[in-house]
Amino acid sequence: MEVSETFLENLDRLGAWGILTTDENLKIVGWNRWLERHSGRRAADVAGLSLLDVFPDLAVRSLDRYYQEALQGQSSMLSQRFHKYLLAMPPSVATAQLMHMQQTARISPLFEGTAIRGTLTLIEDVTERVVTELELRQQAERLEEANRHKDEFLAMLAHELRNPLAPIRNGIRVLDIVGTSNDEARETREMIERQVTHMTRLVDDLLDVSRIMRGKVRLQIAPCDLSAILQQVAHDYRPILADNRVDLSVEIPVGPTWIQGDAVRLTQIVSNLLHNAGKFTNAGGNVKLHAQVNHEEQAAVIEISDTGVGMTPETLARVFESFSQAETTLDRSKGGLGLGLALVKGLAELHGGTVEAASPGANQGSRFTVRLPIREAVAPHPDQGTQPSPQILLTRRILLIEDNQDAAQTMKILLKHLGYEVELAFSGPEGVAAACRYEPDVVICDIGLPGLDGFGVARALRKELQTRDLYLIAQSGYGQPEDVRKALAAGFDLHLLKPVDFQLLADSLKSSPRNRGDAVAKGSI
Amino acid sequence: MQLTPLQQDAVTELINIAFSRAAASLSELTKCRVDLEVPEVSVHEIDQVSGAISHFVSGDVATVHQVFTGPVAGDAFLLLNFDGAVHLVDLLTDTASTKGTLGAAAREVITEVGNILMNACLGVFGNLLHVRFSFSVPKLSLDDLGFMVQSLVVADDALQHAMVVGARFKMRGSEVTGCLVLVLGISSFELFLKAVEAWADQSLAGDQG
Repeated sequence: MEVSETFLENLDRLGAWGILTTDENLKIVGWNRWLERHSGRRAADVAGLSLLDVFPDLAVRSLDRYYQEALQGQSSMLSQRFHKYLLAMPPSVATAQLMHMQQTARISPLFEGTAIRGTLTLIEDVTERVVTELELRQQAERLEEANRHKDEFLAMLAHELRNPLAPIRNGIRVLDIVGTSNDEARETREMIERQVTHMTRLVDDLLDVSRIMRGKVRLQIAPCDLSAILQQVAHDYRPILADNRVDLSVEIPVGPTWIQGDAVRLTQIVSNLLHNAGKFTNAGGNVKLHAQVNHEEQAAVIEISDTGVGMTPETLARVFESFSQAETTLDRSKGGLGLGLALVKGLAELHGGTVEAASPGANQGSRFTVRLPIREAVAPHPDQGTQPSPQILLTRRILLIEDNQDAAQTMKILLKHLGYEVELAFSGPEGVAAACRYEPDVVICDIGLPGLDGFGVARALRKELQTRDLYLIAQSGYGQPEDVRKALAAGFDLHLLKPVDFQLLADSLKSSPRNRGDAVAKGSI
Repeated sequence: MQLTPLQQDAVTELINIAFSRAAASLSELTKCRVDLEVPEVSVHEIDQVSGAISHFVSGDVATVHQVFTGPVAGDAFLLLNFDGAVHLVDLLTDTASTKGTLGAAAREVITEVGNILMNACLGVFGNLLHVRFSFSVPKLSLDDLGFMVQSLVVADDALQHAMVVGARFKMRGSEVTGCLVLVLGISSFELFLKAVEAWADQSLAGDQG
């Protein structure tokens, strides 16, 4: 059988396809100029040669069976993804990643009347496409890597930003204690407190969002009364909204609504939505908190609507994205990082719920709807969660190990005002030595310390006879359950999250059991 | 139109043989175990095939089409839900598609999968009928199921039958179900059924002997 030159010339005009014909013994009858160009061999030189001799790789890769099947009448499609290539030829695109031209091929019987007289192979060069796919995949991997670095950076940034907040907050408490009769000083103190509170919220949101992005948030699921949570958040926010002359109306179920959830995170969801509503509602406006149980959907539905600035469809489409801002004017009068709603979405989804936003348009208000699945939740037993009455601790001496000198000094002033004697140490080894020398009742220890970290300090103190029974309190910027577990495993009795709520610390110092030695001694009497 | 129990068993058995071959080819290609199951086989007149097909796929479908000619001639189709096709490519190539799309490379993979499955079935039927089929090169199209079925029905005025075969691909702990449709003219279909019965009789005689 012969394939005419004219036929091949006509096929050549079809474009970038390789065309190869064989006879029924798989001897090459001819191939087109495309194949001459890419294989580097003229058709006249290979005509009459066995295809499997010219391309021995075909048999090695078991691709010769497709030719045998074609001689039986079957047509086959060989995708690049499965086979990479049919005929081994140099790549058509300069790339270090590929040894061969990437091909998609079709192998069919070649008929003369109804008799099969050979095979016809069509080869498409898809190297450029594959190189583009490889580049896109590498680019996607790089972007993913960059995104991961960004998330890690944000987490680190938030953590670092927390540290200076602690001494500032302590400083405010010191000012409270020492008091001032000067109005300007008092107003300045109040301004600092407002700004620190605002800053703390931003940093906490940033930290939470970065944790959600990295899948690091673990909910503390327990039965909780959603009605009580909503009632409490509404109670907290009513005066804040009232300060801006925004009215809050509340319609929530009377009596408990038990759901399985993380009470702290549920509070955060509702707080953020109320905060957002208040932020974008002008004086004289109204915010409404409405909640009900939808028995058909088996969901608690919480709606927070406002009469505020509303959203354009463009804003609405991106409202739950991190760093998305409804207002992007240069003055940025509403401030914020655009994290609150991203956090709401992330936390609602972690609860197996959803959040939706709706707005008829700019200046027509907004409505946010949170749906949380109601799983069978049983009200906790009244006794559950209550702690045995603590013994009163007669703590007098405290060792504070903290490398941030401002934080250490302000905390020392505060503790002294509460009547404690306080010694400071600014590194891990210094802290361990001071504990032996100073013989404190309680050690309050930072985790990130030079020389020896807080975990190491706790372990060292627990080893020494002289210090092993001290009451140890960890203070750390990392507050995930895993961080708390690590602190307790290292030997700490209590873990407090930075910036430490001073009232909480004061209460802990007052009500914690007396140091371990005394506790053991008392227990043995 | 309904197959007799003997015909039904025999056709199912033959399809199982073909699917086993196809599964072996796919396993070899992917270097991962692929199983192919036949949940259901049924025969319908072409204008009543819609219900049977919609039992397996719906909405937007990816269809691989191959024409076969010879003493028995017709059209073979593999139909997969669009999402099923995307998922199948992900399973076969062990990758995650970009935003659930079916790009050029993925379309080629589906075309090759359809080609393998249909070649295996028609190869088994060819051996059974002692005939040699000639196959066209497979083509992939993406259409709404209704449109695709409509094109089947209006393609030819002559009475045709369609054999609808469920096809369940199982691999990497996941599965994708689609269906294979063989459309045959009345004479080809009768020839096919006679050959199936003869094969079944022969098999039964062999078992009893």
